[in-house]
Amino acid sequence: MTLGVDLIDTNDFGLSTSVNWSTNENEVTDLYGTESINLSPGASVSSRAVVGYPLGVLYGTGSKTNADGSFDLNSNGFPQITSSPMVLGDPNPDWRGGISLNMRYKKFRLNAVLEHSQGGSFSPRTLWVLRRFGTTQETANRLTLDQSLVNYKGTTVPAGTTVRGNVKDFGGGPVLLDENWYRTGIGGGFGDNQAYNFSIADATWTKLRDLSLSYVLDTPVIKNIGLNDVILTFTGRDLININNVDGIDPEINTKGVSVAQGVEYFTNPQTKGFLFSLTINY
Amino acid sequence: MKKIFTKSILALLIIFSFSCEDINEDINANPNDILITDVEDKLFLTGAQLANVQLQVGHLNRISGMYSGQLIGFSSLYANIYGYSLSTVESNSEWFALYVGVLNNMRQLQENSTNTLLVGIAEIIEGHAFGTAASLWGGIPYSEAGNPEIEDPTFDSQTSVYNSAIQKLTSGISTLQSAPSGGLSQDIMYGGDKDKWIEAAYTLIARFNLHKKDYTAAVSAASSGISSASGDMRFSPPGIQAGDSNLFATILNGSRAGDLGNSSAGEESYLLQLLSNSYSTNRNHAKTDETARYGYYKINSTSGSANTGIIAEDEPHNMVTYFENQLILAEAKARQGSLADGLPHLNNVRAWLNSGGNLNSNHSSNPYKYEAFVSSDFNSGGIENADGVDANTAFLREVIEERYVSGFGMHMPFNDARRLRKSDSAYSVPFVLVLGPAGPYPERMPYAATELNSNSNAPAEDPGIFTKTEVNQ
Repeated sequence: MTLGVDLIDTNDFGLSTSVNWSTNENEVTDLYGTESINLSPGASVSSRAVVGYPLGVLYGTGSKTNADGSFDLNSNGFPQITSSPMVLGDPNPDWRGGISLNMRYKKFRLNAVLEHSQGGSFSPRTLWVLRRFGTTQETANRLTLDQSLVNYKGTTVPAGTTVRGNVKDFGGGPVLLDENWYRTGIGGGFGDNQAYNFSIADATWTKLRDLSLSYVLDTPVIKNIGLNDVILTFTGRDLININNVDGIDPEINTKGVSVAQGVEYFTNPQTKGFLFSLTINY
Repeated sequence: MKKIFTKSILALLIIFSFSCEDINEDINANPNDILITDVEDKLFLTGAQLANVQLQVGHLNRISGMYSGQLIGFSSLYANIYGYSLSTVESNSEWFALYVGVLNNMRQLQENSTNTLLVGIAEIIEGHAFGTAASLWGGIPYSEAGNPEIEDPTFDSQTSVYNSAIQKLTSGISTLQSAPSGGLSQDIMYGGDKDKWIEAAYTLIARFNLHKKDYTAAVSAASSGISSASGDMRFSPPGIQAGDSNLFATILNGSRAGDLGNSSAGEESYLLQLLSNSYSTNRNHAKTDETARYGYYKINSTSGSANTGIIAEDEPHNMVTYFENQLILAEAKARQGSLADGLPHLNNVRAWLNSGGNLNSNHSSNPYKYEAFVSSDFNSGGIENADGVDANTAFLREVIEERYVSGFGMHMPFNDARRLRKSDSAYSVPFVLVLGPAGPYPERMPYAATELNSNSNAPAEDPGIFTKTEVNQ
């Protein structure tokens, strides 16, 4: 849906805006005998066509759950991986929308485009793998325990100990996530034997896609040297990028523009751009 | 005018239809779907042999080594698997090797080649692969597999796959008996030496009967099995190009460096603890010195190229061997009769070890000793019976331990552990998983995710690695 309105249009001042909104719902109904087809081969979290799900769902080993949806925990209170890969999330956003604003005041022009993508899942595997090496913000955290906690290996770490890691409750009381979880356990690293459900992030993002400010010079001096006008423009691209993922832009995709979506693995980020331009009309 | 127009249209249509046919002829033929009529039949052999190598000594073999105390998963992927966190995805490659690499190609030869040497070898490779597959996974598709008419082949029982594999091996032996021999460079195992193939097939029949605990049939087949170490089926990395090396060395040279091995930071696997005097569990005594084999077996996990022993880049992998055949005879004959029946076969293996065995030149100058045993060594208080069990038990325990040690790099230790767990714990090797979890230890490999995903006859979910397979229940 697109809607455009010219709000004000006088000699000195003009203001127009347009908004667009879109959503896409689909379901894979038949794959001729197989349950899923890998659209992004070679990755432990893949984007797939899976019967009964939207196209491109994220797929990988997850955590076992009980009938009520809670985690099926081991005796130490930690999740256990599923025996086979499962659907981990849907990278398709609930909706996407944009708003653009064009303003003119005397010799100034201002154009802005704001875009928003709501919902959907994203798999930033860069962060997942780097947990294994202890080089993410999450693994850098240091805390002093105010209670004795068990780690993934089953060792009890006494209260008062300062450790690197985090405390988390998977449903069986708080446990300590330390290197036994992130490095040698199922909470970070390589391969298919990981609880990849914890690698899935919310893909919602908002971006100031485009902002440009221009000034039109058409003074007599300009006219006298034989020019119509000169326009000075500053343009910024992606100056503001708001999302829930630490250090990775959820809009990027390892597979680029394709049916495989929401997968990221040391993928080059999008660039932020600043542009100054000078336009001479004669 | 109208008539001419109609005729021209018709003429054009005819021209176009013919021209189209010429241009597009064969466009729907799949260039990758190679049949035996397109290429020389012997070119089907090597790829299938390499697929079989992957099944026998590849990723799942490293896992079975971890689950029998031979290897340790130190970090990352292999640490997860060592801690029993593994997904069905781990079996995808070997499953593909089995059904696409081995079965498709070997069936092409069996169904279309007129070269009986190739057909016989193809039957033996198929039997070798499917017997191994039955041992690893339990029941798998076989009777309906490889048939393009059947989209979803049913899963046969483990015993029925074992029996079919044995039948395939028997058929291969019979085909080879009337076949020409030699002159087959595509055969990277034996160069087309049919006598070696026949012996190896007998050893495989003995092996699979042993899995089934049919010790009579095992003795009968092993009596015609591999008669000397020169008949061993080993995969020697050809080393023609970089990376073309021992499979274990290859993974340590890649991204798995440091993740898997048997010795790191003072922690050594149970296998190494059997060989070194630093441990009370060691098997050295007046007649046995394992110093050289300890060094040969010790893995440097930091990289493949740093190794000089059993996983050195150019070191061959054991697949079917003389020592296995002799140890099958030693065990099965002692079970049927007494240790006097089995002892000569154990001593045959010790004689071979005492001549250097598989030690390579980097290790053969280190001390080793494997003197022949006499039956009194197994009597209560003898050097192999310090704890005073009956002599036959002491003998079988020693045979199984020798299988455990000599079988490093094969699925044999994993198969023995599962086979003996139920009622033969007096003979089984009491290994532990150093740095790993306590028992109960895994009983099978997970089915491949790809099969569970696409075959409606596959179980809804893998039965899990702790479910005993049919023959071990």
